[in-house]
Amino acid sequence: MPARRLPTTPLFALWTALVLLFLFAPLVLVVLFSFNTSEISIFPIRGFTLEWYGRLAANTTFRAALANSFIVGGATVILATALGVAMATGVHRYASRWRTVLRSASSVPMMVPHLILGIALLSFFNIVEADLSLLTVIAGHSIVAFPYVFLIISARLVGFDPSVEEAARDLGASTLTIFLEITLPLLAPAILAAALISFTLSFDEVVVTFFTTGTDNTLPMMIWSMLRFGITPEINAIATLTIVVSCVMAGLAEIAIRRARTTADRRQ
Amino acid sequence: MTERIDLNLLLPAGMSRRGALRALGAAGLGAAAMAGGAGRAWAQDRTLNYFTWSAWGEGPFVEDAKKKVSIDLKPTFYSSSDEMIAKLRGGGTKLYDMIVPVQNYIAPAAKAGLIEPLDPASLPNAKTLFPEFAAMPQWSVDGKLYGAPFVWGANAIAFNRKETGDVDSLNILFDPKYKGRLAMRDEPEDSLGVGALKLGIKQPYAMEEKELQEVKKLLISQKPLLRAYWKNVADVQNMLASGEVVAAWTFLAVIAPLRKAGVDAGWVWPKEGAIGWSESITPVKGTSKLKLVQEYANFTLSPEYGEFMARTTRYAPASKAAVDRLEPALVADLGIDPKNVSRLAFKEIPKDKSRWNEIWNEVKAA
Repeated sequence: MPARRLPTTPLFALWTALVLLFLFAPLVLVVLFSFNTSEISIFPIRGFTLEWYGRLAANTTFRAALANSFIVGGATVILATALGVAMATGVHRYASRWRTVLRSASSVPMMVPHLILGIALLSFFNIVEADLSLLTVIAGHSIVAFPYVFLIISARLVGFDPSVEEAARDLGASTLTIFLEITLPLLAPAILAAALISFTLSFDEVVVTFFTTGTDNTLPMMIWSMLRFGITPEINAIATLTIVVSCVMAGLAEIAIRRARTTADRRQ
Repeated sequence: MTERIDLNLLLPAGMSRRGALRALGAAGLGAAAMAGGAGRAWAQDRTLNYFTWSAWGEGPFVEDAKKKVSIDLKPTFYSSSDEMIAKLRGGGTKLYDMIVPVQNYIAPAAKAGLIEPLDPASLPNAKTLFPEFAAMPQWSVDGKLYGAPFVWGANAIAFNRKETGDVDSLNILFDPKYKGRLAMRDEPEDSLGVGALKLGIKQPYAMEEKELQEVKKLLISQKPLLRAYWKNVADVQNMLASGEVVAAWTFLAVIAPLRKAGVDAGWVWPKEGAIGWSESITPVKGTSKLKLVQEYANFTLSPEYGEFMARTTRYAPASKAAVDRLEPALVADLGIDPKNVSRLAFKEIPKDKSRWNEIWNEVKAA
C-alpha cells in the first residue's frame, strides 16, 4: 500500500526551496569564484578563466596529496564498513545482555574531539613503536568513521523482518550462508550509505590525519595549511572538483538504490 | 525462491558480487601495502623529511632544492607553530629531519629536547645576513645556535588609502571614525602585543599581570569598533577588498593581491612599533642527516635562495646579499627597511602563555 504523502501546499514548497537555497548558496559561490580572474573572491566578477584549474593540474604537491586522500579514503571505507557491519549484526543478533554497553562503546569515537583522538593515537603509536605512514592514517580514519557505520547499519537492522532468516535456517542453511545470501543483500542500501559516509568523513578529516601521518600529506592537510597563510582561487577549484565528485557519487548511489528497489518490488 | 537485490549497475559486466568483493578486498590491501611501503623512507642519501609551513614546501621550492643543491625534499605541512610542537612532542621527532620554527619557539623547543643545535661553522652564508638578524638572541639557547633566519616579516597595518588617507600610527585601529570598519587578528600573540604597543609598553612579551589587565581593558573598549577578528588571511583580504574594512592588523602578504584587485592598499609599520617574526631551518632532535640539514640551511641563507623566495612568495629575505639583487621597487613593496628593524617587537613566548590565551578569550567573550 503506498505511503500517505503530505499535502504539498505552495507554502511548503517555498519553505523547502528557501532551506535548500540557504544550504547550497555558499557552494554555488565557491564554484562561481573558481572561474574568476581576480585572485580575491569578491563581486563583481572580473572575468572568466580556467587558469586556476590549469595551475592545479600542474601542481605536483596537489596531485600527490589528492592521490593520498583517495588511497586513505578507499581503504578506510573497506575497513570501517567491514568492522561496522560485523559489529552491528553481532550486537543486534547475539549480544542481548551486552547490547547497551557495546552500543555505547561503539559510539565513543564520535563523542571524542578529533584533536584529542589524534594526540591519543599518536601516543599509542609511539608506545607500540609503529612507524607513522598512510597505514596509521587509515587506522585513525577508520576509528573516526566506525561509529557512523555502526549506527547506520544498526538502524537498518532494527526494522529487519527476521522471518526470512528463520525460514532459511529451518530449511538448513548455515549461519554463514544466511549472512552472505540474505542479510548482506538486504542491508546493501544501508551498507552503501555507510560506505559513502565513511569516504566523506575520511576525505574531509584533517586533525586526526595531521597527528597520525608520517611524511605524506593529504588534500585537507594541504588546504588547511594554505588557508592560513596564502590563498588563491586554486582552493575554489579544488572545492569545485570535490563537489562534482560528491554529486556524481551521490547520484550513482541513488540510481543503484532505486534500481535495487524496483527489482525487489518487481519480484514480490 | 531466493530474493536477491542486484547492484549490477556498479559491477563490471560479467562479474558476480563475490568476484567484485574479492577484487575490492585485494585492491584495498594492495593500496594499503603500497601506501605503507611508500611511506617508509627508502634510505636515499640526499632526502630530507621537511616539516614546514606550506609556503616553503610547495612544488617550486622542492624543484629548486633538487636543481640547485641536489637535495630531495619531502615536505609535510603544518599550519601553526603550536600544531608543530604538539606533533613533535607526541613522537614526531622520529619522522622529520628539519623544521621551520619562528624565533619565539626556539627556547621552549630546545628545553623540551625537540631540536638540535647547528654548527655555526657550517653556515658560511650567514655572513651575508643583515646584522640585526645575524645576532638575534632568540636563536641561541645556552650558547648553542639553533638556527639562522632566512626570512622575516612584520605584522602591521594594512589600510585602504582612498578611505583613510595616509596612516602612520596604531591610533587608526582605535579610531571611532571608522567604527565597524576595522579588523584585528584572532591570535593573542598579535592582538595583545598590539594593545601593549598602543599603551606604550616597551616589552610586550614580558608584561606583568597588571599590564595585561590594562591591555585587556583597552581591547575590550576596541571591540565595538571592529568588524571582525580574522583567523584566515583570506578573510581579511576579502574584507579589505570589498571595502567592509578600511584598516586591519594583518600580514604583508595581503597587499599585493589587493593592489592587483584595484584597491589602493597601503602598508605601514606604525610609529608605536610592529610585531616581528623570523624563521629559520632548524634540525630536529635525533635526525640522522644533520650534515645534510646544515647544507640545506646554508643554502636557504644564500642570495640565490633569498631572491627566489622573495620573488615566489613575496616574503622578505634576511640576507642582505639577496636583497641587493632585488629591484628597489620590489624592496619597498616587500617592506624591507632594515634600518627600522629595531622598531619591531620580535615575538617571544610570554612568561605565561596560557594566561595570554585566557585573557584573549575573556576579551572575545566580553
